[in-house]
Amino acid sequence: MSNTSIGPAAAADRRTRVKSIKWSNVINENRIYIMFAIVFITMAIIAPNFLNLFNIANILKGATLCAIVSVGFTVVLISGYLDLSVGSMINLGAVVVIAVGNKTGLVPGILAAVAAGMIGGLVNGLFVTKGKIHAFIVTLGMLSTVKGLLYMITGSASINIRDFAIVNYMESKVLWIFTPKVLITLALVVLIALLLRKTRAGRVFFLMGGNRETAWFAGYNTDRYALFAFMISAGMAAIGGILFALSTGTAVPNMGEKGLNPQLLVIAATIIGGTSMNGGKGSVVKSAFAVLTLTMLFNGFSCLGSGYEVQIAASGLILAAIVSYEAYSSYKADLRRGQRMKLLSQLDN
Amino acid sequence: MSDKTRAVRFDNSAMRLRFLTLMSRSGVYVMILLLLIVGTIVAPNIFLTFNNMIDVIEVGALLGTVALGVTFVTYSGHFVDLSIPSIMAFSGIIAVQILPLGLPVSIFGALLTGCAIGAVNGFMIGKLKANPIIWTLAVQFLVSGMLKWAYTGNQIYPDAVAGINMRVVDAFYAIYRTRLFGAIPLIVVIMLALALICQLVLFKTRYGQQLRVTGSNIKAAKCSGINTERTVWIAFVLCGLFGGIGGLLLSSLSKLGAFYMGEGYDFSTITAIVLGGVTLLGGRGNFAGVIGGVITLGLLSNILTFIGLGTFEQLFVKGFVFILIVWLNTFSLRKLGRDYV
Repeated sequence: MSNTSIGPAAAADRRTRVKSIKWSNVINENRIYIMFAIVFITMAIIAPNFLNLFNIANILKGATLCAIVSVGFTVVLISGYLDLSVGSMINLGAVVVIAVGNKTGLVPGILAAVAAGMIGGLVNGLFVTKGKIHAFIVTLGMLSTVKGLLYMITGSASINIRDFAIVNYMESKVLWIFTPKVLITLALVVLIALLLRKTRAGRVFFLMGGNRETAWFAGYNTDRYALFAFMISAGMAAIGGILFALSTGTAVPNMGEKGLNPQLLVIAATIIGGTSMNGGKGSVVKSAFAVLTLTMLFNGFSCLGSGYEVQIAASGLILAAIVSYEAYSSYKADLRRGQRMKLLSQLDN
Repeated sequence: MSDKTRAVRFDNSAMRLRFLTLMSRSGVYVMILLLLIVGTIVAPNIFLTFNNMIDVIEVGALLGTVALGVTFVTYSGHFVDLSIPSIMAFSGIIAVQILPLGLPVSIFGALLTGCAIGAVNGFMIGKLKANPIIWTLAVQFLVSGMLKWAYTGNQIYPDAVAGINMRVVDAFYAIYRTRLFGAIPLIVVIMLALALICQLVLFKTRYGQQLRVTGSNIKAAKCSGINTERTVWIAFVLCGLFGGIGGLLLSSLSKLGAFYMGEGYDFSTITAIVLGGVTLLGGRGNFAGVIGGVITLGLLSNILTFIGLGTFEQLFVKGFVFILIVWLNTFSLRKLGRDYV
């Protein structure tokens, strides 16, 4: 099956699949909440020291970076594109906020970092829409370009923040167990969720992802909305990097290349959360929940005393299980479709 | 869309048409010619010597071997195999681990490991139609995590595993280091021979023909009676096989087996493949182009080093050159009316 589902055939395909497996669809739609509950209860029972306020605050803090990035990434996937450059955009935000912030103060630093991320997204979007190059290639090129740029800026060393007051503030619990980082993350998730559900831009993202030509025929400037989607994605990644850099007080150009790569984790979480690679389907809240579930799982494993390797293998296993389930159900739907052509034509009418 | 309005203004002058055809057919070789000229200007005495050229190809030979396998997957319209690093690491570790049983067994084991992972990928993606990017990413997580767990993050060394049998170990090390006629590295010969075989498979055999139709339009292929599921499956097995060869060569080069071997090969192979003119939508390009893509990457870093740029500046330049070359290729294809993407 081709990967870009454009055309009425794909739409009919999706419709029949929904009608033929209705009950399992409900579970499938809300699978991330079910997984969240299962992981939480299991870990609370079997993992020592998992269920206390300190550890839960830790989990929330650990999930912030990937949650923010996955929100932006989900927007790009919903509009039917792909953004592989988020890994570098995280580092871009982190490096710029500290490099500029040390010279001019915090607020210009933050603004400069967000602007840098958005400009990166704009370049991505321009190459994709005006140059008409596949998003996979453009963002892969940007991943390498931005990484090179960051190494050049930092001289491949880590740079440190000069004023540690902000670091103390970011790590302080301002509201019960919530640090400012967690609160900002929650606000951003709600903001983008509202953008997707309540505004015209959000509706166009879904429409574009489902069928780009239809969106164009409906009178929307799809190129401009694609630019917007890429800017949201890169901007959110930069914000994630900013928060991470401000709460650790340091930035490195190659964060996440050793150990668990946040970029791959974000891709995995977004898919586990139910966002479709073909576009037109997904939810930022579910993506954020998926990140939270994975973080909780990792945290539980380290409570049990196992290392990174088990965490990586476990996330791979979950991802593999979910992909197999999806593939198997669509495979069965395909088989059924071949056998009952007459019934199907009635369904389509 | 805006394409259609542009197509009306399509300028049909013969010169332009010839240029576009050239760029779409063998854009990467035009680029190689250009790079050769630039290199000669930058470093007139050293660049165009036999040794330097051999070096350029030798550096890319390992990447080229793996890229040939991934090309089958890309050609079939399934983007990329992100599990390549874990395939390489796994088969490298297997090759080192069973080295005491003898070199042929070790080589066979490595290739078999690659094929096995490829077969699983092929079943899930070809038969059950899972999304190739996500599935291979899951396999990458799973296999690399398990390797790290099984070996507790340690590397294994052939001489430690094989014990006193140093003859086998030396033979294993020699795979990567042999030079035919004292000058041409064996791996370059391996890469070129495999590329030739792949090219023949693609254009002269029944399977190649089926793959070409499947890559161009999988629905049309199915309607014309091709078993597309099996075709895609075999493409992934071939990808795993070449990954296994790559893992074997890499562990022979680095004299160890470890979970992190092959890191970065997932995206560098796709870079070389796309540079070589194989489009991500499938059904376009050929293996000669892929070798061209590998050589382009090698020449580029060679020249940039001669100019005096470091690794990081090279990353910056390469990212842009990558986008530029791909743009030239897709642009000319579109102007010729062959692709409407």
